[in-house]
Formats: sequence, structure tokens, C-alpha cells
Amino acid sequence: MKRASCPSCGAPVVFRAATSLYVVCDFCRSTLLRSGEDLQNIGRMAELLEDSSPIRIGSEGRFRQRHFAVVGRIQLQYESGIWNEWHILFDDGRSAWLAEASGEFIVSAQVAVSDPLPAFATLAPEMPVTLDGRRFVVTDLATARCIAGEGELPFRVAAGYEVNTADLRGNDRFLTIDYSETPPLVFVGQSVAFADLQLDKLRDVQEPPAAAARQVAARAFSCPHCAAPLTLHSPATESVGCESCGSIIGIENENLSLLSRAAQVLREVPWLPLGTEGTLRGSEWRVIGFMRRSTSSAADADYRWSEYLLYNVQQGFAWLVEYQGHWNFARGLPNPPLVSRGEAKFRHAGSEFRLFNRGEAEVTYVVGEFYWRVTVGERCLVEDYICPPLMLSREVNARESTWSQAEYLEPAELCVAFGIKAPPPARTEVYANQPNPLVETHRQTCRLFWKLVLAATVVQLAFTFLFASELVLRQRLVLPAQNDEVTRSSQEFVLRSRARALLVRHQTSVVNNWLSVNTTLVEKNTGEAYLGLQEISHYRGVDDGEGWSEGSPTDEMVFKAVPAGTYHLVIEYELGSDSSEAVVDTIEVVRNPTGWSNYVLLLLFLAIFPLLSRWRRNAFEARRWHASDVGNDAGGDGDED
Amino acid sequence: MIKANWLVGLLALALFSSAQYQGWSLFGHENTAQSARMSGARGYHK
Repeated sequence: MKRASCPSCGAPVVFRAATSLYVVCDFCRSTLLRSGEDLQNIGRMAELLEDSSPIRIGSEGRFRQRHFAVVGRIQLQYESGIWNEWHILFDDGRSAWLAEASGEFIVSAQVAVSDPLPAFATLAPEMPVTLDGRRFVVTDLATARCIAGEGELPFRVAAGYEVNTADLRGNDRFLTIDYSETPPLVFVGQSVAFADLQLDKLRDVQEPPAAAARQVAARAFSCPHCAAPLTLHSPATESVGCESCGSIIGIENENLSLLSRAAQVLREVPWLPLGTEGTLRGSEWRVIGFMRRSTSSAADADYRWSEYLLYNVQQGFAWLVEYQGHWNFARGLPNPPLVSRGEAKFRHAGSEFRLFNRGEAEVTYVVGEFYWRVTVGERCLVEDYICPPLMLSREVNARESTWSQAEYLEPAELCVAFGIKAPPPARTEVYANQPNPLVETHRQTCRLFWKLVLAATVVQLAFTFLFASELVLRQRLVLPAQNDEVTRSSQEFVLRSRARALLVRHQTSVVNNWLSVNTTLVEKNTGEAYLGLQEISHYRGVDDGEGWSEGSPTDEMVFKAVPAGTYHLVIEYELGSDSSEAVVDTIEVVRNPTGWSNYVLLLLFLAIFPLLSRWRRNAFEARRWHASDVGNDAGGDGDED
Repeated sequence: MIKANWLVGLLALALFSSAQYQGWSLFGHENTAQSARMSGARGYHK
């Protein structure tokens, strides 16, 4: 750390970073160049614009568990607003930059790149660029003008100089190419949430950061067109739509500029009033802006939806998007997927997203605050990719490409979050990323199906092995061909206990003939008899070179509840005259047979339920994709069973 | 729907168990269930 006195006013100045060559005196705003032990005054720095950022020189924070202090700042302005580049110094002496723009915070440091850098003029949003083996896509192109600097800086900052910058993103990396020098400077970094920076010593050290920021954020002024009172809540606000007259006012420093005078004829009343506060997903949000947008998709349907801009000091900005009573909570995606435009599907964060809609969106109505210079008629290309309940949306215009991630929100949750008593807009149809409630039903039904199948299998196996069937008689009888009627008695067999069922099976050799079998089961001692009549016919042959067969040489029947005893069968055969061959009948008597047909029937019956729930689930998906202008060609039906 | 599915499934399982116990089969040929007292109980002739 080097301490010195300002050669202009004598105020103490400090160089904490070894890399700092310049320091701007806090008192007289002289820009001082460090030259050995001397300080050289090279001119007076312009004034910074008041932007109400909660960060200041001296603020401290953490990035990847490393402590840093804010030692300098450059303030830049581009067509969509102002951004700050805070010069931060880590405890190990290394320095980096903390960019603060549109509610997003990015920590980056300069790196050397061996690959040649593309010229600024050749870049376009979404253009892929590969640097040192890493693939990036261009997300933002801006021509910024330096407003002023303060504190310690590693290079000279002159107010008014213009610089072309290109922002690129790839996986979780953020890359900025600064074309102010030749060759251009490259900074690589990472987007980080405000809360994760654990910033301390913010603007008002006496108050907690959130309260301090809120205090400096609220600013009141009057509409330059109709004099209606307006209030600013976010330091990043760049434009305000007047609720009274519809004018759009640009915010720059303390100055207001009328961007669009009473341009909006139709006045729309947001269902969520501006200024409403609520707690959603663990954060306190305030509704600060409302816009209506519409799009004409390829399916030539005209969609109109509402977007509410939410603001939280720690979290930055978020959106509530409403369409036909369906709500989504959306945040900017700091690490967007590397997907070419119009791609049917892709994987992101472990989920597969499928293209649902694409079209050109246009802003039709604006009221409240926005972090960019919003205008009615502003257009951009929009693509929605869905993986319910999530939706990734890409918006592309001539200068930038942005991604946001939305999550479906139940209206009831929204009403509770913001304490709204009025009923929300009625839900109609199925929305793109509306969760399919029948997916879970189907999953439970499938789970139940397999449980019941398991139980049925256990029962079946128990009957097969524990209550084993028993062959009590097997006998072969020969029926001579010359006798058309004959009676035979079987051997005796013993049933030691009552048989629930007694199966009598005739396996005959009858071919091209019929056989009438009249079976009587007779108990030896009591004379109790059970009668059964069967017709067996079996014909087969060859017609026009093709074999055919009709009937079966085998048949069986069941006697129920047969008491214990000694039995034999008396069988009357009547043989048809279609064939002159002798017939052999092999008789089997099985006690308590276990059939499989009931088991198969049960499985078929149980399968009705998962099939029904699957049909209902798919019907829901069909209604969802009916609203899509690209169809559901990209993937299957999401079957998980 | 799941509760109804549970109920119907358990009933079907009970019916299945009962059918297996009784030896009943939809496709099986059950005898005419006639029973008669045979004279003499020693033999049977048409």
C-alpha cells in the first residue's frame, strides 16, 4: 500500500493495488499518475453520474471464498443505460473487475488469448466464437462512452472516449472483448448473484445493505408531460412509462427526457398494481413495471401477454409473465445454453428442453420502470423451449441475445405471495410449460400396477407350489375302430381329502373324426356319481397346398368339490364314422389343478388402469402441443414407465 | 383415481385368489355338476 498526498489539493491518496497506475483524488477529482515515488496530476476527472448503486469505493465482499475490496470504478454509458465497472482488489494482491449492469453482477479478470480475435464489425448476436478451445456465443454488442472514473485504476480513464465492447457467454463463463486497444483486451469472468458476493460497507455503513440500497433507490419526480408523480425504486432504471398519460420518460442522472410523448392511447390496468410488494420464492419483490407484448407466430395466431417487472435489491430483476390466466416466474439466465436458433431440442442443466414456439414479439404497452430504454413497438425474435414446469426463452434483436428461465406458477401461490384478494384472470387451455398433473397420476398408477402384479404372481406361485396340484390317475385306453360305441372303466384312485377341483383331461389321437365322451366319476363305496359330457373333434388336411386344422384332439373338464373317497371313471365313448382308425385316449386326473388363464386374465384387467392413465396423460400433452406452432416432433411422449 | 384403482385392484386380486382356490377358470370346461347315486356302486353300465 502506498500513501501519498494529492499534488493539487494536498488530500491523502492511497494506492492499495500494485497494478494501479492512476488514482482519482476524492476531493478535487484530479487524475494522478503514479510515476515512481512521485504523483503527476494529468488533469481533472469529470463528475460521475448519480446512479444510486449500493456499491462504493471501500465496499468489501467475497468471490469464490476470497475476500476483496472495491478500490476504483469506471462508469460507462451505452444506448440502454449505464453500467459500472468496479475495480476490485483481492487480498493476494490480484485485481479484477466487478461489472454491474441491469441488475446483473459479473466478476472478471483480464486474460491473454492466443487465438486471433474477430473484428467488432464482423460480430453479430448469437455468433459462435471459439477462443483457446472454449466455445462462446455473442450475447451483447455495445458502443459505450466513458462517463468518468474514481479511485484507483490500472489505466488512464478519459471521459468521453468511446469503446466498442462485445459480451460473449459460454457454459458458465462470461467473456468481454474490449476493442478500445489494439489488440483488443479480453476479460473472462463469471456471473454471480448479489447475495453471493456478501458485500459489506455499502453506501450507508450504518444500515444493512438492503435497507441502505432501498433508501438510496427511491426517487420521486414528476412526469415532464403531464406532471403526474412518478417514483423510481431501482438504481438501474433507465426508463419509466407514465401511468397517467402513457408517456415514456428516459432517466439519465437527475435529468429526464421525454422519449415518447403520450404515445400509448389505450390504457391498460395491470392486475397486479405497480408498487405491490410480496414474498415469492423466498425473496421480497416489488412490482415496478408492466408491459403488454404480442407476437404473431408461424401458426398465424396472435398471442398477447402481460409481463410484470419485479425488483429486489439483492436479487435484481425478475419477471411475472401472464398469458390466459397462466403465470410464470422468470429470471435472466446468466449461463445460457449454446444452442443455434431453431434447434428442435437440447439438454440444459440435466433436462431436455423442446422448442415450443417461435415468433416476433412486439411491445404494445408500457407503464412503470424498466432497466433499459423501452419503447412501444420494440421488436425481437422470441423462441420458447419447454421442459415443464420450466421454460427457457431466447430473445434476440440486432444488438443482443438474452435468455431467461421461467417456472410455472400456480395463480393461488401468486395471490398468497402478493396478498391479492381479487380473483386472478381465469385459466384457459393448457399452457406451454404447465405441469401435467396426470404425469404423477400415471406414475402412481404404474407403480400400483406393478405392486398388484407382484401380489398376483405371489398368489399364483403359492397355488402352484404350496397348494400343489397332484396327478392321481394316468391311464391309456384304446378304442377299436370297428366299435362305434364302447364303455371303459378306469383304474381306481384315492382322494385322501376333499378336492376343491378335480380335472379330467382326455388326450386322444382322434384325427379327421369326432368322439363323444361321457365321463362319470363314481365313488366306490357310496355310489355317488358325477357326470360330464364332452365332444372332441379334430380334423386336418391340405387344401391348395396349404395345411389346415380344426378342433383339438384334447379336451378337459373339471369336477368341483369332490369329497374324499375311492373313485374310478366310467367313460362311454361314441366314435364317429368319418375315419376307420383306432383311437387312443390318455386320461389324466389332476387334483386341485392350478390354471394360468386366471392369472393372465387378471394381468389384462389390471393393465387397463395404467393404459387409461397413460391415455389421459397423453391427451393433456396433446392439448399442450396443439397450441405450439412447431408441433411435438422433437421428442416422444415422455413415457417413463 | 388412485384410490379407486387400489380398491378395484385389491378386489380383482381377491377374486383371482378365490377363483384359483375354487379351481374356477373362464376357459375351463366345467362338468355339468350333476351328481347321482349309482345303484350297486360296483360298476356302471349304459
